[in-house]
Amino acid sequence: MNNTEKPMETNKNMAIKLQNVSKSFFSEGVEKVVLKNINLEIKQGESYVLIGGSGTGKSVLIKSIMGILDIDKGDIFLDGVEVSKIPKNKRIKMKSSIGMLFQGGALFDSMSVCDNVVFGINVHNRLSKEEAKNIAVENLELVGLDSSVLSLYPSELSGGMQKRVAFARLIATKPKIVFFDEPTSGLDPIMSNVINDLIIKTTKYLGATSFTITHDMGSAKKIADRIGMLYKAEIVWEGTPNSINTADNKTLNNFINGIY
Amino acid sequence: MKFLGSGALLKINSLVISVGASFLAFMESLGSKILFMLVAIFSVFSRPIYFRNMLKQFVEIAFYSLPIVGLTAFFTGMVLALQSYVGFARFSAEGAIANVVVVSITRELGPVLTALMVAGRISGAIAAEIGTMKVSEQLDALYTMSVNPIKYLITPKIIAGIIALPILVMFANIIGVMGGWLTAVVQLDFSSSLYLKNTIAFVTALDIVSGLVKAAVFGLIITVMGCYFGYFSSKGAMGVGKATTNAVVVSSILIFFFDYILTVLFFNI
Ligand SMILES: Nc1ncnc2c1ncn2[C@@H]1O[C@H](COP(=O)(O)OP(=O)(O)OP(=O)(O)O)[C@@H](O)[C@H]1O
Ligand SMILES: [Mg+2]
Repeated sequence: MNNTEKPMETNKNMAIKLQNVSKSFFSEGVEKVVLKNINLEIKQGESYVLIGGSGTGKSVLIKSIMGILDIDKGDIFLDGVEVSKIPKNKRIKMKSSIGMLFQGGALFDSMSVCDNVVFGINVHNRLSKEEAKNIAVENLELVGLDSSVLSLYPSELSGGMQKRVAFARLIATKPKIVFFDEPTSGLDPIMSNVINDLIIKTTKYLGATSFTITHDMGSAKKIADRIGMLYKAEIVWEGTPNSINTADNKTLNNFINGIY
Repeated sequence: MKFLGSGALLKINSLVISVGASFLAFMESLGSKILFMLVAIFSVFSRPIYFRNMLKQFVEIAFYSLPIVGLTAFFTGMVLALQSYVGFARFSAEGAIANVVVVSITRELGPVLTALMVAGRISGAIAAEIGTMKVSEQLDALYTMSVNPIKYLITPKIIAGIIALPILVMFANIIGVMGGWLTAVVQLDFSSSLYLKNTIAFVTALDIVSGLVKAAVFGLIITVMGCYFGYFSSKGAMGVGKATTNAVVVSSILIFFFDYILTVLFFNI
């Protein structure tokens, strides 16, 4: 990241830091608080998993950190840079090493699988056909797909395959901070495990920091260094995967045991 | 005031208020469209510029509209020749057909009919494309890959529209005049060379230029409306469907509106 502002000393080894972040939506004059004073610190190389009920604001939190949504209040630091103070059009231009996997894949449906996977690179530095194909194949192999899908269009793929192509598109840009919005939803148990392992691999071996949203407790325990739970606009619990079963928190226990 | 009861006064009052409110709403929505347009157009002056996308959009708008625009122009020219023949025969002024055909087509029918056909083909398609991309988070995905969706998707479409429409209208003018000529010669027994001579002698540069300027403005309207309604469409299939309809309806109305304004401006009426 290039930014003229001096990063604050205390944020140096924090990949992601949120201070008092709040976000509301207004519909027909009614305020709906989705995030309320969220504080969060994620270290470089750490794998953080966020759990929480449907509609509690997990996706909104990720999109706020990415800068897709504007927050109402608070500060967001990425790699020590206060990104929440940078205007949107400037932020787009920063060639950032931050990537995101969307909940629905968000593949470009006017482009082939090959063009989708290399898009993040190709759009900034034009690749030759040969280079593009090689990069696409290499990244598709990582998610368990082969070159037979290269020329297909997203509408010709199953939901799970779309998710994996989106994953390949994400890792092709070699991001240093990655956000995964429900990476294993809609995948069979075997493919879920492939993705879990891949998240671990990208995080641990590439030294990337990851922030994952999931409903899949098996997956959460497997990939997380730390787990947080979002409930009613606030993070109500944070701890290690081992401590989750013995945690003395009613909301958390109800959530993982499916009690309502 | 004696003759107006207080009930009638209240009615007039509320009528004034509701007219005023809808006028304000109209101005507000016009303002947001103009702002959107300016942001998208001025993006073309800063890097990166996506030339490939511009070219692709140009082919989509210009090349693939050729058949429908040509067909429309051809029939319009033929019908125009027949109608003016019938009308002018009453004053024994049949000789003026060539003049009437070429002026009507270059000034009015070429630009307006071409724009309406393209609005039907393109405006709704653009709204659907961008609306779907918004709903399925593809616009957000562009953003996360350091690509400005306005610059990448919208600016190229608008620029392509501004360039494509005058070219299409040029084409429509030629085909339309040919349609008139064919009818005059084959059906109405005019002399071919005389008809063409009259056509060329009568048409002025202003006729053609005013038509082409209109076309550029219509190209702007068609693409901006498609992009605007798509970009601000609400989530879900219904939102995208509404955006598509709105894009076609609003751009068609604006085409007629600006056709009038531009005609007044060009011919100092
Ligand atoms: N653009 C928006 N405008 C208005 N409200 C929104 C918008 N985006 C999200 N919301 C609201 O914010 C709340 C949180 O949505 P979010 O998508 O973050 O949920 P989530 O925790 O990711 O749920 P899930 O697990 O089902 O994906 C929802 O109630 C939703 O209606
Ligand atoms: Mg979500």
